[in-house]
Amino acid sequence: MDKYNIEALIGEGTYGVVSRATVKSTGQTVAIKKIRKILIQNQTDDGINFSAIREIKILQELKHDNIVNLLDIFAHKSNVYLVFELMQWDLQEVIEDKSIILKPADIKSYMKMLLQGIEACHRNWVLHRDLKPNNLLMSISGDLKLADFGLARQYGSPNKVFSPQAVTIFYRAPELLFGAKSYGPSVDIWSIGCIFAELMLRTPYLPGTGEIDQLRKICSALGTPNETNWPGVTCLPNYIKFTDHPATPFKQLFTAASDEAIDLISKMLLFNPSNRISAADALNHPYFNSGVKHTNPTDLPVPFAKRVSLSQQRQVLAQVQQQLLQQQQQQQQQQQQKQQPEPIQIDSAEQTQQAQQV
Amino acid sequence: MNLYFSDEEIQNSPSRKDGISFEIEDNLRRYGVEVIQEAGILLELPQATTVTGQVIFHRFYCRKSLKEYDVKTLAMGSLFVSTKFAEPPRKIRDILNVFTLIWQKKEGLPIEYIDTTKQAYWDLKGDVIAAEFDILKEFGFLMFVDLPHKYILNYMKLLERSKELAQKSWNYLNDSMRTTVTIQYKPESIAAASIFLASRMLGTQLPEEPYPWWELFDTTKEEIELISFEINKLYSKSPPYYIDVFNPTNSDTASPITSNTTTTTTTTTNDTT
Repeated sequence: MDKYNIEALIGEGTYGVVSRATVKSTGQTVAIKKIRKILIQNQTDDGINFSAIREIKILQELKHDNIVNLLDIFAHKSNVYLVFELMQWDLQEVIEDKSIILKPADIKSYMKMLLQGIEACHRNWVLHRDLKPNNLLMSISGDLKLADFGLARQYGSPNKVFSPQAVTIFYRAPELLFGAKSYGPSVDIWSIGCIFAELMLRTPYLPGTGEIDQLRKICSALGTPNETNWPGVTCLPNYIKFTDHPATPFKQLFTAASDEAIDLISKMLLFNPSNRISAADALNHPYFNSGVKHTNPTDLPVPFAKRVSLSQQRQVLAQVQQQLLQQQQQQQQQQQQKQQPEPIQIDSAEQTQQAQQV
Repeated sequence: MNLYFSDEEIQNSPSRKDGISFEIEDNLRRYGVEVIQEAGILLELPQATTVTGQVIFHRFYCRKSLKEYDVKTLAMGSLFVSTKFAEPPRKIRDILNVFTLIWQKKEGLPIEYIDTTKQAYWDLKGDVIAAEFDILKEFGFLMFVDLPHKYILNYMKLLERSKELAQKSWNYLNDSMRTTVTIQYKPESIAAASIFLASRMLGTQLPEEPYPWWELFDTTKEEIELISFEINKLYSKSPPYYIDVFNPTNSDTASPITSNTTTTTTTTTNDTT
């Protein structure tokens, strides 16, 4: 606790408040998630929040540029605190900000980072199970990072039973809605497909109000699942027969999308989970290596409310980094001078100093 | 990264500094592990989760003294932490119920449900939650345990021997949790040592030509022998019993309770296949 200066409250998470703070020794800004105090006198209380434990366990193992970085965990009094790198805004804000125009190149950039992140999860046998725009955070340098692993879990053991009550309903795959108890990485891909559509439409693609309504929305958009397009669907626990409905062609809905984009989204939103494209294959899809080049993360649009502060922050960050670099160089020079006081060494040190000034 | 402790750290554990002899610590460690195993079966946990709890239990007493944390509370705390990390989660109330039942049986007390309206229940619950918190804090939330059980299945497949050998090796592995080898040696070696002991018991020959079988499993003959020796020592020890280190006067009168559980027959219901 002594290492950090708490500055302001920035939000409320699933199991506690999130504050902005700075690390006293380095000046780095971080986000600190406080896990609710343990109340022993509460009947339903079961010690430290289980989803917090899941998040800790999984994030300790996953280190990737497109996954939020867990910097530290510490306990103070009877609270547990998780220290994350500070993120600036989430994808939800980008989608809802009507002053932003998302170019196809921007969408490609978001999709690439999102798929890279999820590919890293799946490679390490982790299912995220709660992908939605609001859990996709953007860093100061414009990198998209997956966050909120409170619902994530490890998969790979064949006999483990999973709860179908996962994923926010708009992004929930049809096999979950039909009550499947064993499923795999394809549930995350379905969510990504929905996010992809949402990026193009700028409004949720399948906004169901309940499980049945969600299925109805899926059927009217993508056609009705049956034994031919999804063998085994009728055997799922909560299978219900829907009246046959023809699929709306993607081309009709996403008029501005390229053929490659349409092909990729149709592979992500396949009914049969075993035919749905994997994250690794999606990254090799022609969508990513043909047509417009994806936007550089630093050039991605910034929500209106964050624009001014962001440019300032980036300047400050650049200055701090430069200062740190100079300090390091000076220290190195001093050390070199102390260790080896030979004339040749001093010469080279002077040279670097000159180079610095230039 | 798995966490290991040196021989010296185990010999000069924090409990020793509090005047608890090696024998008493060894007895209490075995007692705790045995209780965790029984609770794991009653709670219908996968063996991997139970064993994770046992390893956490062993690790903790290399950092803290038995005088500071009671074995009973810590056994509950360790299993509670491992149900959260290794899943499936169990309600704290179920854990309290199961452990209370085990102690009532072991100590020959009448078997009763714990009354959730009584203060004693809340005290016990508070103790377990505090133990959970202290365990997590002590290890900085790093609860990763690399289990030998994970390796033994592959090893048995490679060796292509009888199912009986597989089951015997698995039993030795579960027994090995009653010693501190689990926090001293890498899991590959413990798995190999269990296979070694099982093959000796069943008189099964394992290939030594052109290369000895253990070389394939990243271990040495020396390590296998050291671990086997430690595991074998178990079978000449008397069954563990609870000693109240907080009130030494009581422990003088407490005699080993003749229970039907002995260290030699730990055949868990878990199948190796």
